[in-house]
Amino acid sequence: MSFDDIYSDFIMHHYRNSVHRGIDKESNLVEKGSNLSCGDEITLFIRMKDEKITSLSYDGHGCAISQASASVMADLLEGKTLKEARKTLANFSKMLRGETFDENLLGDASLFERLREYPMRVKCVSLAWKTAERALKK
Amino acid sequence: MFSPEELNGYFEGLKRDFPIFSHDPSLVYLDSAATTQKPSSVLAAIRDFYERNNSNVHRGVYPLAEAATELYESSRRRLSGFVGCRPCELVFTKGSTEGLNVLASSLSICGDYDTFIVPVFEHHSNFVPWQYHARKNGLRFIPLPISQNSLDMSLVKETLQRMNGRFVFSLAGLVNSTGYRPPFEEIGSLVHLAGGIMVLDGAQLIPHEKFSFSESNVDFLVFSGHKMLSETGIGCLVGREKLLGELNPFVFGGQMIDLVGKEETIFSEGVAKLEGGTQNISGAVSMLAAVEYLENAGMERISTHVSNLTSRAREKIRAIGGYIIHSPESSRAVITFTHSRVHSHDIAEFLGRKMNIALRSGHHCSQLQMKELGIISACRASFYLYNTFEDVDRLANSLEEAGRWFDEFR
Repeated sequence: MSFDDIYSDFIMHHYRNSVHRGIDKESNLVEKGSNLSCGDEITLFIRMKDEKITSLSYDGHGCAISQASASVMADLLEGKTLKEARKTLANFSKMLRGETFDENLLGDASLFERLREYPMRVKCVSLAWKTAERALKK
Repeated sequence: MFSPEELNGYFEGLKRDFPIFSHDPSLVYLDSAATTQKPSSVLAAIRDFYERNNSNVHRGVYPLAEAATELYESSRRRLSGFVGCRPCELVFTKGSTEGLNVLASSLSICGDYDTFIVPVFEHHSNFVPWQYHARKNGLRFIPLPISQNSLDMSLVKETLQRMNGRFVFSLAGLVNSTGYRPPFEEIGSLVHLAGGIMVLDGAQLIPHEKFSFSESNVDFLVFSGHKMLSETGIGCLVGREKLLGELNPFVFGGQMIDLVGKEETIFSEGVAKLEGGTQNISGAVSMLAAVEYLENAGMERISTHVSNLTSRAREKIRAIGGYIIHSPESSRAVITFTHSRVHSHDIAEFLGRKMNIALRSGHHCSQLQMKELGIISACRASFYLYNTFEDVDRLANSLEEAGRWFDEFR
């Protein structure tokens, strides 16, 4: 895959223009995650109301792929119930592991499937998602 | 004495000895601190060994076994000459990491030492084994603070003055994450003055600089074959004969045994005690060929050329806006930098996929050094004899382009 396939307009748009970036002091669920292989860190700020995610934002540092992936995830999870969100996250994990998954549940996030061929970058893609999985397990 | 341009021309010629560059002529390989490319002569030596001399060593009495043993032992002799030690002081290992693990494990249980000192800029392989075995066996572990990317010599002296003589100081000859070359000669003297012993991690140093173990203040030295043109899975542990003899075996098995009884076993003496099991024989053969290649090319010439490349890279990267250099001014063979707004993985992907430049990004197995520099990860370009001025210029131009490309999305 070429550089332009990985760093597509879609990824670069989310990297630069995410509306979900920032610290949310009103959130009632905060979860930190890090990618030990490169030191990247992310903090998720989730507002939960009646078992529903009403807002999700993130802060931290990482490469364009990890930041774009966090932004896409936030878009996707906002408005979902806890149950729906868990299902979506599990589905995303399946996609990255190369298992059968339901594309309809993932929307734009299925565009990350192509990065599965790059084991080094899968860690970047999955940082936000793994962190969300941990947050929502609680 | 050659001018930098003449030397560059000389090494441009040698680049043809490395088949990877004929298969991929546009490749700019700048990750030699991780592993080096291999010349045809090394590849031929490995093939030749398997085609003509393959047998186990130190076992059979038939001629083929003798030939294999002779090759293995001649590699030991040649390598001893290369690093200035005696053959009875050189043990084959899997590489520097294994050598350091043998030392940390053995020195932590022998009862002669109560403290391990290691600067925090060390590669994890020269930090974690000492930390682990010290903790496990109740020794004191001192992670020596650093000043940005260098040692603060007054702190080194102060630390050593407090020692009681029962300590081990382990230090890289050249730091992999920044190219800093600590004054290990001076530190070795101070360590000895304070009654301790000195371990030198030569993984990065030995490929780049003529070193004489017997003339140094170093008690143990480790280095790796694959960082100096040979195969992976082979390296050396060098030690003063007496100290080496006192080390506990690390791997128990064939070759390291004199006599096995039902209750007790008597181990071999000397280097054999530390070479349990069938060793990486083709690896040893590849190191022999590699050392021949390096000596023919000229270690001093390699040293000077690599320094010229590093200085050129430093100047060129400095001239581009947006990049911050984290290596010290005097860094050798390695230059580490970040872009002020773009992540190191993004820069490395741009260079790798768009420009065919192999450049490392990440924490370089040195998280504490990154922390000290106040960064999470960095890009690292590392040079070796097959790199040329053209490579450095392509690096600089590509870095400028990468910075521009990512900035356009702002």
